[in-house]
Amino acid sequence: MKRAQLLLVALGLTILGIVLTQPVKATIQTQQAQIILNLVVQVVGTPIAYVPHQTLAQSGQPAIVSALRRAVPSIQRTFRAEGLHFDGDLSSLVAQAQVQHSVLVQAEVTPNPKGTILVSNVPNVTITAAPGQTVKVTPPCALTVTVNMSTAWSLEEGLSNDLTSSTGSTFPGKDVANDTYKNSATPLPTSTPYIVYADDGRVWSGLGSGTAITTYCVDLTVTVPASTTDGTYSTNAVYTLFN
Amino acid sequence: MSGVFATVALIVVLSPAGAATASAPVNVQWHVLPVINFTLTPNYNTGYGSVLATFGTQPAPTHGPGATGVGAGTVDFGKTIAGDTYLYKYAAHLHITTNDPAGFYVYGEAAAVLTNNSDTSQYPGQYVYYLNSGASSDSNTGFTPGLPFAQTSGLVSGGSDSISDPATITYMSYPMPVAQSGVANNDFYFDYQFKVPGAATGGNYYLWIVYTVVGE
Repeated sequence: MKRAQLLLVALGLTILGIVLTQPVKATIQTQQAQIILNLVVQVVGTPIAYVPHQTLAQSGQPAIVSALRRAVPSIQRTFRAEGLHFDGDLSSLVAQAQVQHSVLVQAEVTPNPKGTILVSNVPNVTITAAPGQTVKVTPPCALTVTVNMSTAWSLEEGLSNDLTSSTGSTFPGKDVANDTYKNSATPLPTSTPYIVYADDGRVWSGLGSGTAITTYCVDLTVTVPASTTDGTYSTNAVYTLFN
Repeated sequence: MSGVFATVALIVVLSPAGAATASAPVNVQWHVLPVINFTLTPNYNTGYGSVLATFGTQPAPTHGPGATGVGAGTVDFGKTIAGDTYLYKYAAHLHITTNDPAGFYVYGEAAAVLTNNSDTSQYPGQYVYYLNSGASSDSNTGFTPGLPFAQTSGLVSGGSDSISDPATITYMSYPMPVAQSGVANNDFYFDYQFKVPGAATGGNYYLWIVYTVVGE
């Protein structure tokens, strides 16, 4: 009987401990700020294409002839803005070079006292790469993320989605890696693929914690799969600050 | 379709009686440009408006007073908070018809930098983004990847914070297109995202987005 009472007391204390620690954890994990950085990858042109030679081999010695040439990016075109203009009778208007319309975008912005506790030096990053190519953004520390808090904080990171083009083509977000280090430190020897919130169990990964104002350098590396078609791909790098 | 057509005309020069007749070919060239009809409709579907970037269940869209109704007004995000990201659903519908079987390009750029009309502060950078939407359905969120509207390097006319003063851009060379059609007639549906600068001051902000359609 005595042992049973002791067991009950121990069980009660355990439950009490769990109950008491939960609010503390919840307090620690209060989200303070979140920033969404736009990452754009311009996939332009297969760098080298096989072009069979059209000339038949001459009689006698058989020959295998081929040529390598750079594929012309399909999207890069230069245009001249020119048009036909007809004065007077509009019925004589027979052609137009371009038509233009515009839309006004408006917003009423309220300042945010917490709007600057987590900031980046740029709102977006654009990287140009060919299929099969790995490109590292230079110079080092071109992208920074700064925590402007002097009390205890923790920072999480990740990509929201895979990289997606306007035509619906995608390539994995894990092909984007980051080498993130404090700006007073040296770069790490290797880069780490981002976790992708939409693919990896809807969680972010921990980046760091501290009790002082801290700036991180984020050196990005993108490896475009060889099968990726030309186009403009984008995703969001999300940084979330807790205290 | 803007091809070059050419013909050769034989010019006969009539000389005085008794003299020999002389002739010379004259090469005549001209461009034929496509006829383009382009309709831009803001707030093109019921349910248009702004939602805060949120995972999971999406809040109901709201909008500011500039968005006066379906197919009318401005793309008005309404009340926003500095540092937050918002999605504006059913922002712009581009309906384009041409007589160009090769299709056309659509260029879209910001006419100027994001401006606070209340204190005239300006925010260089790319804060308004576009992403594909649907004609009557829309599964985007504030976290769906978009692409930024670049600020134009063309010559801008007009464009104050008034719907009656639309901005126009004169191009010497066109930028990267935001869309391309390989057929003569097409429709494009866009949502917008607004990434409000974290250090933005309070006030009424505006930015003109200018679309230009050019035949291939």
